[in-house]
Amino acid sequence: MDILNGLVQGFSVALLPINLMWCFAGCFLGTVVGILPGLGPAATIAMLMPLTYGMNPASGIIMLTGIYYGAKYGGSTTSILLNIPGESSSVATCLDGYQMARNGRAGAALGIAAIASFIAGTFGVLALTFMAPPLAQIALSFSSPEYFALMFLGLSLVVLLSGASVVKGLLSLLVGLWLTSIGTDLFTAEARYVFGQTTLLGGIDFMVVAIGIFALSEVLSSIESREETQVLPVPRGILNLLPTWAELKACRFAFFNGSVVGFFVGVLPGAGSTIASFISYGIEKAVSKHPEKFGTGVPEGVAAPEGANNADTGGALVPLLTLGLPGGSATAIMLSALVLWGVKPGPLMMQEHPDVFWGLVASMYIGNVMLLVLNLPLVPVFAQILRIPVFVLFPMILGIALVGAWSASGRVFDLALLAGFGLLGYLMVKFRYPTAPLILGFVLGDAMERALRQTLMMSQGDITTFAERPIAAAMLAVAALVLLTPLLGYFNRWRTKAIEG
Amino acid sequence: MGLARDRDVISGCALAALGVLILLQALQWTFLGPDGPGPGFFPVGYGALMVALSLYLVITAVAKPDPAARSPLDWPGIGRALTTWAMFAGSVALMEPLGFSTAFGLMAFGMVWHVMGKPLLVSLATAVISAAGFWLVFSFALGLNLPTGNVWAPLMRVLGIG
Repeated sequence: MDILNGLVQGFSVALLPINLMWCFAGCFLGTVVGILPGLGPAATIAMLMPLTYGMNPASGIIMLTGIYYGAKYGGSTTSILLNIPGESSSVATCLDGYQMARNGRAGAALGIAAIASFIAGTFGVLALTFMAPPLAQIALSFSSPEYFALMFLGLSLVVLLSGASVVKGLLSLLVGLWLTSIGTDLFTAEARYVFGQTTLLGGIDFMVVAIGIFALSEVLSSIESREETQVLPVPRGILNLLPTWAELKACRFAFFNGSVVGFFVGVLPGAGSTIASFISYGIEKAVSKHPEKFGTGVPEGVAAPEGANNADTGGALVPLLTLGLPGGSATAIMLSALVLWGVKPGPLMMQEHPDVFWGLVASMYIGNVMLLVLNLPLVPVFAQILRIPVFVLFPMILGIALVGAWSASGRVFDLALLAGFGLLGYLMVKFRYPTAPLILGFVLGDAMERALRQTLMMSQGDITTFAERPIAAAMLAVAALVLLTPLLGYFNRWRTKAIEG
Repeated sequence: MGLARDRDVISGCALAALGVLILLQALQWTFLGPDGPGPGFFPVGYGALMVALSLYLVITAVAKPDPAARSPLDWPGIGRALTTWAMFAGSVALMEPLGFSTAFGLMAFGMVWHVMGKPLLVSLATAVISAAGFWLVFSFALGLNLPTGNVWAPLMRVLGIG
């Protein structure tokens, strides 16, 4: 009953004209960003976050989340028409989507992608609606030891699933923890790692790190690869975008498979929609009566990964909203945005800010409908975005990055840091270090240190206090297992295969 | 030469040095005080782990080199990326004296003309239009106080707009 009351309150917030407008703006921007190779949702959310400072929290998070899931809808367009995924989560869609387009079924492939995204996206929001309240209820009993153990477990999963090398993932995380230590100590107000710079006493602004690591490094990597692309034609008219009855029938299990796999993989920190889409594609191929046809342009090869990719959004928001634990880069940025607006994600969010929590959930039901309406008839229009020349696009992205970082603090010093983090992000790509652990280490580092120090203060330095608390002990044991997994040959081969996929 | 080309060795050494720096600084702060862990507690932990892991990375890279870590690099492409970065950093340096629009316009011109090899006129037009677009959207429409530039201040005073 509480859930239904919450939903009613949520729709009363989400259906306000101003929030409908921000929901549409987010979904529209997300679709555009998803289509544009070289600019991901994390970078876009980071760059646009300063512009939302003046909004009320419900409107702001509705727009930023719209960008997050809208990008997943848009990502399929480039996969199908160009064989270039707009986002990493759309890589699996290339396998059959591009082949369908080459076989003259581009419209049907785009239609199936949009329908699968809608069905699975809505399933993800439904699951979020009914799973979040009981999980938040459990999390209410958590104290500092449990929070430390939870963050430790979350970061372990992120490290495990973020790249082929766990050592590099851990090193990336440690750099993030160090960067977040820069500034004044939380308990003693002692300056740490400021190197005589008073401007660093307040710490490094999260926006500067996020925009540098994502937006700048993505542009630099795209300029390095200098890809020339040829867009396959998109049939005009909504009827040409509708799949045949036989194609839809072939996809019925894929819709279900993508929804369930996407949601549950999305709940796991670090797993993300890329892994969800590949697992879903793998399951679809494994249970198919004609697995040999996968890769030649079968509709279920588009529906399963696209569904998983979108159901993941609902899953990823479960730990973010109920535990305050982001599982990926985009959700980490959304966590920072909520904190900046004075909303603390976690078990009390539903009680303290029901308008934000339920307003966001309700807006996602509406956003999924908006995206279906946007993506079916307007795909040919969106595809034109791919014709924007890169020599216009890249300076614009760099300009938006500059404006985003400037509007966060108004200091040239932060722009210099932005340039530094842009170079760091690019070098991380070149040296094959995953960037997600760095961002999550930066976002969670403060809270993790605070929880650890509070725990040890309460226990007067006795570390065995973790063993005395069953939930914390269980989470730390699972985290240890997670970090030891790469040492087990079979699991490591599975993990590497999933990540390389 | 082989080792010098191994990206895992290079990055491992750099991170080991960073870890040592973190440790040396952290050891000067209280590790465990009467009230519990001090400001050095957490950094000592991750600093030590960083040194250990980066040394492990270097040792494994030497003992069992990963072919991918020594794969040939696209130097012309890297040159383009680093030139773009240098232009971006240059525009940041020019932000205070010249202001956002001029610094950004110069960067855009440099990128389009030098990095992307477009004709001079196209490059100029792209730079001018995009700089004007940014001014219109962010300064004029959204009222954002972007840097205006110290060198233009006397001129703007003369024109009565500063």
